[in-house]
Amino acid sequence: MRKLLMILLTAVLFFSFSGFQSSDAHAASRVMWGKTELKVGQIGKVTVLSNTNLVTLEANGSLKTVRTLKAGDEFRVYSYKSAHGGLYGVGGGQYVQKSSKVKYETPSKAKLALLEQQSSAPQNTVTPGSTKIMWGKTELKKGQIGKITVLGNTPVYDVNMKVVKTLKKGEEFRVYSYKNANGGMYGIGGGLFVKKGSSIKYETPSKSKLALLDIVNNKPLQVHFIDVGQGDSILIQTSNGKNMLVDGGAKSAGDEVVSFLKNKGVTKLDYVVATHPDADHIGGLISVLNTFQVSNFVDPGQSHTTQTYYDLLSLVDAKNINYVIPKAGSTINLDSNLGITVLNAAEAGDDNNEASIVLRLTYGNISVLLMGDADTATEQEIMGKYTVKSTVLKAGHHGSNTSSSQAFINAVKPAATVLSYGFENSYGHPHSEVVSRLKNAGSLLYSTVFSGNITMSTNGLSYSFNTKPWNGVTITPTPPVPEKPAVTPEPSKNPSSGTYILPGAPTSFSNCTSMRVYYPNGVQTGHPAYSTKHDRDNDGWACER
Amino acid sequence: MTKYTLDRFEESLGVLLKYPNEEEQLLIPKEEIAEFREGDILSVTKIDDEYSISLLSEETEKMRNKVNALMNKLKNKK
Repeated sequence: MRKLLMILLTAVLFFSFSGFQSSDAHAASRVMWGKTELKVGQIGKVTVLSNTNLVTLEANGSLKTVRTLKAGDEFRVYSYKSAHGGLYGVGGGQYVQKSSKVKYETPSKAKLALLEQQSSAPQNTVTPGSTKIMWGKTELKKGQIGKITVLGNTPVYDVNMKVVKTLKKGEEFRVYSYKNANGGMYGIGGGLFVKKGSSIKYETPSKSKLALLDIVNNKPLQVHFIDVGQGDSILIQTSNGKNMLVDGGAKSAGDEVVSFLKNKGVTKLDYVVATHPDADHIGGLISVLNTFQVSNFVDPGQSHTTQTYYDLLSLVDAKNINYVIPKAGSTINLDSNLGITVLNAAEAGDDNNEASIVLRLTYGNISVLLMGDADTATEQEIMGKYTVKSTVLKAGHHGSNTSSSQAFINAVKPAATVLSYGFENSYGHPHSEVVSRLKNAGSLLYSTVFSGNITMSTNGLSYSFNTKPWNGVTITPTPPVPEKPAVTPEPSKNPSSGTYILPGAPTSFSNCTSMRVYYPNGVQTGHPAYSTKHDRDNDGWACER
Repeated sequence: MTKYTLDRFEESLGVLLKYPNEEEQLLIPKEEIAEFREGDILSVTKIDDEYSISLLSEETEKMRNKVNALMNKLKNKK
């Protein structure tokens, strides 16, 4: 046992109100409901009127108290159960019991409709005209198999082999079909044919061009960066209706992720990837695995001793989900038109972040690099081995400076970067040097704090986001200005008053026991020995009895 | 005493998750818990404003073996 002077910075409770605070900047792309943001999947909110308990439902159906909620607390409600006289589900498997101690409100239909509209319809859709695929000087068209270039005067035949016109040198025609008859006939459309011969040159487009032609008129590929507060959760939906979820945020975000997936029409997940076993990436996957049919569970095979990780693996086992530990360089076959390469997987001796799975998606000419929490050492390694240049980057580790080195940003050259992190998180993510590095590299920034859920859509040629880019400036709320200057209490002669200064006594104490030798009842704000570290309850008295 | 698992280090902080729900977290400066590793199960006792933290080595080992056994089971299941 060793004694520590406790420097407890915060004990953060993981509840769904973490993103409740808002600023004007949020309002642009978020649907506000009174002072709070209305989220996808939310059915109402409860306001605590007087002390009431936050509870969980035990396996035997009884309620267990998590903590006491104080008057004024507000929670988003995602579900309602009629058990125990009514339970409001506030996320993370936690409930507030229906009673006169709480007020329940539901959002207006108009607000819900607005939310639906904002979350489903991309504001900037892929513009027509951007679906043109050029092949040399001409556009490659649907159904085209090749082209002919005329080298010398060449006759054109109709279906009855009658010459209808003559083509001149230099002209180019699209070819849609080929027949073996008459020594080879190229169909150039409109029931017209050109004979194979030395007066024409025939060329076929590359496989990648044809693949692009195939996807460009399809439903777009969508990559949703779900706002899970401090954490990551990314849903990939392919044009053929395949779904893959990369991470699920913290446990408390589980219900929100489930609601989001349901809202996007997900009933089955072909792949669930846990990039690495840290709680802010895997916690929410427990609700996901409990709700949806999952075919494959992919993780780096990096063992972790948290209950959360054990519970997750237990679910993979109980539900007979195929367990995959990928190797670096391997591919994931989610959909035939989408390339997914694993750029990093765990090696012996890695810490959790080093083990983070890194994925690069390629869809036509557009690519997306999902870095998980991979750090600069991993960045260095993968940029030496693989192509990392990508259209869209999900910056590693929530924009921390443990990731996104200058060399790596230079190699990726992202046109857009998504930063997934929580409002006023305890770690200072994203770090300002990373934000300026990305801006200087010419990347647009998208922030889950600024925009909430972010959707990128692409047809393989161009891409769009459903929200405005973030300018990279964090809005720090202005501290309230006190109306009156603080009144310094008149020093008292009473050693128990909290204001009395004992002559010759030290002004700094390592703990309350040593302070109480001099000041048995502690000291008040303004006293030279007062320190916030001894006033955890922030009541202006340090080390009070 | 309260049981926590050291989930990860984030910047200069260690993130401790409270057993067993792991929905409540305690953030402690890295230098105060420098001798512990990610995955260690810790006993945390609060006395006034002082905390004492120690490693529950047996429980850590037990949990590590339990998770590894389950992972091996999954790897061999086809």
